[in-house]
Amino acid sequence: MTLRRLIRPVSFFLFLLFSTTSIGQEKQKFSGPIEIGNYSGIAKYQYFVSENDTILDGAFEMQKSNLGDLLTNADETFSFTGQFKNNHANGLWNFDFGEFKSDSLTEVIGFQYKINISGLQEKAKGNLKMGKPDGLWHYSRNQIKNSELLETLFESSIEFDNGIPQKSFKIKNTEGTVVGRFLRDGLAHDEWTFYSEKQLGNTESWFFTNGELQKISTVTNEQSDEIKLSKVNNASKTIINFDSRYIKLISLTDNGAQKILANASEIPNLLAENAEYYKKLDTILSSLGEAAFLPEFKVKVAYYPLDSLERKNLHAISESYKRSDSISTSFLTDTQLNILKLSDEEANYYYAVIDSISKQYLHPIKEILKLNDDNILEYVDRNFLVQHVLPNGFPSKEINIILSEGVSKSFSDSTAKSFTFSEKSLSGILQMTKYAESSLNSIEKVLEPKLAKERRQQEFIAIEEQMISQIKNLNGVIDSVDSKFPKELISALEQIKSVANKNLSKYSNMQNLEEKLDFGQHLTNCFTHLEQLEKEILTHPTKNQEIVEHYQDQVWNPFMANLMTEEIKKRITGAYRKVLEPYLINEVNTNLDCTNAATLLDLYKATHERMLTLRDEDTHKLERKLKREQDPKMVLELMNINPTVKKEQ
Amino acid sequence: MRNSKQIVWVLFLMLVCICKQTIAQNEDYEVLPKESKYKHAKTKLWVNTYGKIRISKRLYWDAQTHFRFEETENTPFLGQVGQLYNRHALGYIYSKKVNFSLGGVLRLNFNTDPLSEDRNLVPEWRIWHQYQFAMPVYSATIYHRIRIEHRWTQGFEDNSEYIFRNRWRYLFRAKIPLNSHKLEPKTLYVAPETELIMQSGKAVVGSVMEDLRLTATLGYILTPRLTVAAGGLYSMGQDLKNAGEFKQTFTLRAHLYYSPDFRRVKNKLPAIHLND
Repeated sequence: MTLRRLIRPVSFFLFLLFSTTSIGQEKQKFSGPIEIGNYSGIAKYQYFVSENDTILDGAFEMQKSNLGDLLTNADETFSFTGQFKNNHANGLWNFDFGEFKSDSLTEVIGFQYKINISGLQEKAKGNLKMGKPDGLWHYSRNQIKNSELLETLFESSIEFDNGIPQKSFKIKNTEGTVVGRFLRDGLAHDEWTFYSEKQLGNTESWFFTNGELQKISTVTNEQSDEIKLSKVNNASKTIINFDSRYIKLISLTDNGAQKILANASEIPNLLAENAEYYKKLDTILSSLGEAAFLPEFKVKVAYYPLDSLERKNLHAISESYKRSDSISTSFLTDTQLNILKLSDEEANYYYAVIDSISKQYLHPIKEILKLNDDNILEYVDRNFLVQHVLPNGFPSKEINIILSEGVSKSFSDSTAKSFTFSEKSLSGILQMTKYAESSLNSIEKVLEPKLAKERRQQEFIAIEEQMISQIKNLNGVIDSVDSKFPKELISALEQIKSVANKNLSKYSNMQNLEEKLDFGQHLTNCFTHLEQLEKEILTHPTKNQEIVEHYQDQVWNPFMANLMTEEIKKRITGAYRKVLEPYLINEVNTNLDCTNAATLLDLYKATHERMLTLRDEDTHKLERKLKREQDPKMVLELMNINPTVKKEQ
Repeated sequence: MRNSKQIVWVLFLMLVCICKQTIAQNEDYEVLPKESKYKHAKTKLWVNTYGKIRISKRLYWDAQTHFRFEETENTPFLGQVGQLYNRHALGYIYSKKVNFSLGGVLRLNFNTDPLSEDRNLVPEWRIWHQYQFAMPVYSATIYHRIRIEHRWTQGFEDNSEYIFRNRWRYLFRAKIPLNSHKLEPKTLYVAPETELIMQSGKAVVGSVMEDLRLTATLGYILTPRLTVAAGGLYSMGQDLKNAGEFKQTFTLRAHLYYSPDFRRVKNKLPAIHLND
């Protein structure tokens, strides 16, 4: 009975529970720490999951401020609030950035602590429509001192319609203010003027008609200057953004503009500054959802699209240029060639040819490729382009080199006839590039063997210089030894010296240059080892003394009531003195040559090191085994001395 | 248990003997001469071994065996065996410069009087403790040794009673290295020493200076654990029976000092650091 009575309310409750969770799955809330680019802080937002993607939808807020940081050093704060709709920023958005310091003086007002801050504050506020600015956007950057506005460093107000700037705009920084207006499609129109704040009366005006720049005029210290831009009527037009690329383009295509732009850069500078602030917001919005938050100031320019042949030519020019540049750079910076050209006339001649090719051919080509990389090529007439990079026309295939006063020689590659470059187009440039490459290849064929020979000679000189200095050292050591030095060690030093001298005379009697060079290289290695071995022999008595001292322990003598030093592990030191040391010295005296110098050197070092470590190890068994051992190889094995050096080939 | 009972019994017996002897001596006494009399100096030869065997960080076993010879009518110095001497103790190393010992002595005394018809050999017992202090002075080292002995002796006569005496000994010794700036292996050193031995006890009447020993020794340190030395000793002291008579001896002495250490290496390290 009671169970039945319960069924209804329980099932109703379950229904309620189920229905709320199913609604909850559609839209969820997040609250916690997140990271967007360089910003990490605490966020609260609404979202739903669609096909495993998090889609932001609803209110969004994220902020960071840290009182502890502010009081100890400085705090970087930010706060973003707004709305998302289906992953697009949509609705009213507020951005705040701050870099603040505090004087740490507090004041209690009512129930709150008040603390003054100083630093920089940035604010942006406006409406977004599906990720694009819509309506009036206001951006400002302020200097704050003691919680009061000290100065506005930057300010911009731009009105948008679905991402396209409208009507008029105003951008201001500490230098001055620029105002201008747009057509409905965002194209610059009429006069855009900059009014200087620092020099009253100074202005800079850019005049546009339907996005096309007509003239630029400036007034600087009551002196006016004006430049009209040349008209290009027969070309088709396209619309691009007013950005650094546009500035590059107008200074490239118009010499007058280039001149005046040197003084009239305030408008582009302010636009660029504004674009940078917009970019900052775009980065934040784009990493959250989909957005295109850009100022999108539009201008109209002449348009010369690249056809497929031109693109192919450009690619070929680029490839050929890379090869040519690598050849010319490697020769021009080759130290060998730079020295050789001083004494060798032919080398000097080819060096000059390469230098000429680099200047006359490769530099202009590089300029064209740079313009292509900047995406400007499409807006420049190709004829104009060639004219621009080659103001004196195409270089001559015959390169004339003045060797000395009145003596000149001209270079012309054998393939000259198969290249024609007179057409002012990319295909003409390609022909020129190919000719440069072909010429450089021919020169390389002549110069490379010449340099190889020279290099080998230099190598001989270097090796022999090294060998001579090494042999001097090797021979000199024995003279520096005083008369008390142990005789067997003196004879070891003499043996090292004699091995070195024998090998040196073998080297000097060799005829085959290739083999001689190889042997020379091998000998410098060998001499290095012999030098080290000499050092080892010279320090041998000191190292022996070190071992003797190392194997001493302090013993308390009860009869004398003092401490006395006593040799410990006598079997080990005995084996070293009676077996190993004579063996090591004997090896140098009887078996030393270039093939085992490194091994012997290492054996010396390893033995010394092992003797130092054995003192503190448990050597009971070893000492017993060493009792009657006279074979040095066995002693080395028992003591676990195995030098790991590669045998020289 | 049995041992300790025996010891108690032996001690009781000794006490009885001492009492008896003192009572006996009360009855007869010697007349002092008008002037001190110096007896003819005897010549002797002592061959002594001294062992200090390390048994732990601070303890060692002190083991000494001395062979003492003396002249006969025909042979000076080593004519006959005088005493065999066994001294043992447990030593405590307080610091590198200070040590103490406590132990016992069994000395076997041979009857060296050719005319005597008494027993040929009697034992002598001692309990001894010693305090030694060393002081470095320039390259030399000087040593102060206080040795206190409780001694039970008896004569050679049959049924001779034990007499008890205390001995108070102070020894001053210097060891001066000759061929080195300190006492270390391969060093020859010279060691002058003086020891004054005083005694007390009921049996001692007047003759409190038992012995004054003046010694010169030349030693050689072979290793930290082995030293040899030899020298001459002149001694004189009051005769127990008559304080007016002085005994004299000239003794040649040879010594062997050894100090082995049988501890395992791991217990030995660090060998010298006593106080850290």
